[in-house]
Amino acid sequence: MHALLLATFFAAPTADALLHKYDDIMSPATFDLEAEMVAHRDDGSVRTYKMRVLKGDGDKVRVYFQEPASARGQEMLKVGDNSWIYMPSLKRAVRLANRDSFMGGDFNNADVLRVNYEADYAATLGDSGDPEKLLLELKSKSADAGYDRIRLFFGQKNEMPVRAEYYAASGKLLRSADFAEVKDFGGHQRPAHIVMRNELAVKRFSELNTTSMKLDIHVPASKFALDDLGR
Amino acid sequence: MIFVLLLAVVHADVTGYVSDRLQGTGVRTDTSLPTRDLPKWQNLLELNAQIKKTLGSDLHFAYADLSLFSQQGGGYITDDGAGPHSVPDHNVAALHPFAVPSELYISSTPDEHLNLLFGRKRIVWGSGLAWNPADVLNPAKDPTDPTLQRAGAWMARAESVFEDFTITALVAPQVTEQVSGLPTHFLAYPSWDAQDGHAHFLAAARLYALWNQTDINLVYYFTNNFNDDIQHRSRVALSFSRYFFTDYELHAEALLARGSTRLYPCDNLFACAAPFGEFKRDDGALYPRVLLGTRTLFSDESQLSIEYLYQADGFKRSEMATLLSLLKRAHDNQISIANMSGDSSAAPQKFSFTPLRRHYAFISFQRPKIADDWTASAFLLADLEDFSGLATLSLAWSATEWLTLTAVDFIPFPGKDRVSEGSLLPFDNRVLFEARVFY
Repeated sequence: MHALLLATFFAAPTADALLHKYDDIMSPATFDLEAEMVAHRDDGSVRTYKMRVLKGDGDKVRVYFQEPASARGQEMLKVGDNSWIYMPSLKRAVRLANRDSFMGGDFNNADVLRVNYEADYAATLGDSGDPEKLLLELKSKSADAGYDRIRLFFGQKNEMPVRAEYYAASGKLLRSADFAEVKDFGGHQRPAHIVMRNELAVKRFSELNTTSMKLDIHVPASKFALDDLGR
Repeated sequence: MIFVLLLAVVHADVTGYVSDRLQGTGVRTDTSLPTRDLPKWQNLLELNAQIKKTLGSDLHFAYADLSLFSQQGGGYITDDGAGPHSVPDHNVAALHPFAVPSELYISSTPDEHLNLLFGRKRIVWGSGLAWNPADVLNPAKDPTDPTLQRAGAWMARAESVFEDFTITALVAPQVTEQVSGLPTHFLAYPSWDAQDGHAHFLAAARLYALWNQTDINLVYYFTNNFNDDIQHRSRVALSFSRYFFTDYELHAEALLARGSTRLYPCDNLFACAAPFGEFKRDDGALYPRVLLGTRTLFSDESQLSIEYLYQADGFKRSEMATLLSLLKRAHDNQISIANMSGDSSAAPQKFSFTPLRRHYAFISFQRPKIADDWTASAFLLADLEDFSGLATLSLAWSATEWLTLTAVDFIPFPGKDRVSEGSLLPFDNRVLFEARVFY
């Protein structure tokens, strides 16, 4: 009996459990975080964006861009499969596709706005080739998913994501991400530093640093309405 | 006044830009329009500030988007029948300094589902990118650069916002008098300029719904002498926007109204009291204006947008020919134009567009990152009846996070007919350089 319990305790998690855990780590039910995205370009120069990200119950995310001055006032909203960007210069919001580049960096909109892999992907466990890592193979369930296929690597011990590889339907590797600097944000542990590499333009990469994060916040549902953008 | 403004700015969020726009125009004197006030070179300096100040909490705030414009121009040429010749530099009203409070309002959210707004705001409910035929509220935008026009309408608005739908009601009084772009009288003309005794306003009710991943707007407008001389006019507008096949955004907007306030040329001057008249104002016919468009993003992040505009009240070929004939007769200073917006309370446009005909196409293509911070764009505006129009090519360089340099070339093309809409454009080329510093 004890042996069975121990075996169960130390058994590798199921694919669905691991996927659920990834969503819990990277996208808790509600949060209010501040982040900085540093885009490194081909010529070696960088562009830095500061933003505030609000996530409400369900698949709702709103992003406020605070820096640089040329992007200040821009907002993005994601409700389910719908995405919009509010442009202060246009005084209006326009619809976005999930696969659009996020602020011209190496993340796409789905990477930042829609971390709900349980909804978008079917998961199976794979062989990571490294005893220190677990591998989750994700296959898109709908055309709205940001990628056709994702390989997610986790630490064997803490089950924290350490690396992701994002593939097109053709099988081509589009992007890769490395997750690092696991931090405690009020009892919630998650990687605070993500480096996303554009595998099609290898000199380019973007870093996303989470500087603060509050969980279990109450955000009125109307904050995730299209007509609230710009307020 | 400045002191009050400075006090207000303290503890407020302030952003904005300084823009300097230098343009050279190859003026044509062989068009039907006068060119006496059209400078060959022009410099426009814009100082812009966007100020947001919370009033007690985030739920209540005051917002201002203010621009001050200073302009210089020179090098005038005209043809008054004796051939093209230079005109000495002179005072041109359109080049005077002026201010534009594009937006200036107080917003209050006393309840999660209720927002109240008073002041000037640009509200765009239509889904069109280059043009919004259903917009009867705001100053028209520049289709070659829709980001340029941010000026809105003065209004009182109540909006009830829910997750999947919004109900809006607003009343917008017309500005009847203004000084240097700043309004002094609303709703009715003052006694010292009593052009009429009417109340000039627009009232609107709108329902927005997010349904089946589609943005849908249904708007009812009631106008009374709002920017025209029609009383008690109802209009209905519809718009939708949705992504299809993952990467293809499809949008449409339409405005339905009976009668048209468009000025039509009189084809028999002996029978008409004036060369132009609102001949279809009260004919009871339905004149829809419809825009259909699609937009897609390619794997290299290039973006293509194609839009088609239909105006049932647009000029037919014979009416266009009559118009051009009348303009030719009125050539000598009877009709005044400049390369400015017709609305002096709006921001100056790079290109002012008033669609006269029935069928148009707007095509834009943007290719970002041709090098790290370089973006190339092309835009085509075409009258699909005479195939005349305007093409623009632009190159923008975001040299730093706070500086963008842009070069634009405007190239009109006359089309297949000698009498075409494109032939009205009083220039054969315009080159523009802009430096914009964000702060």
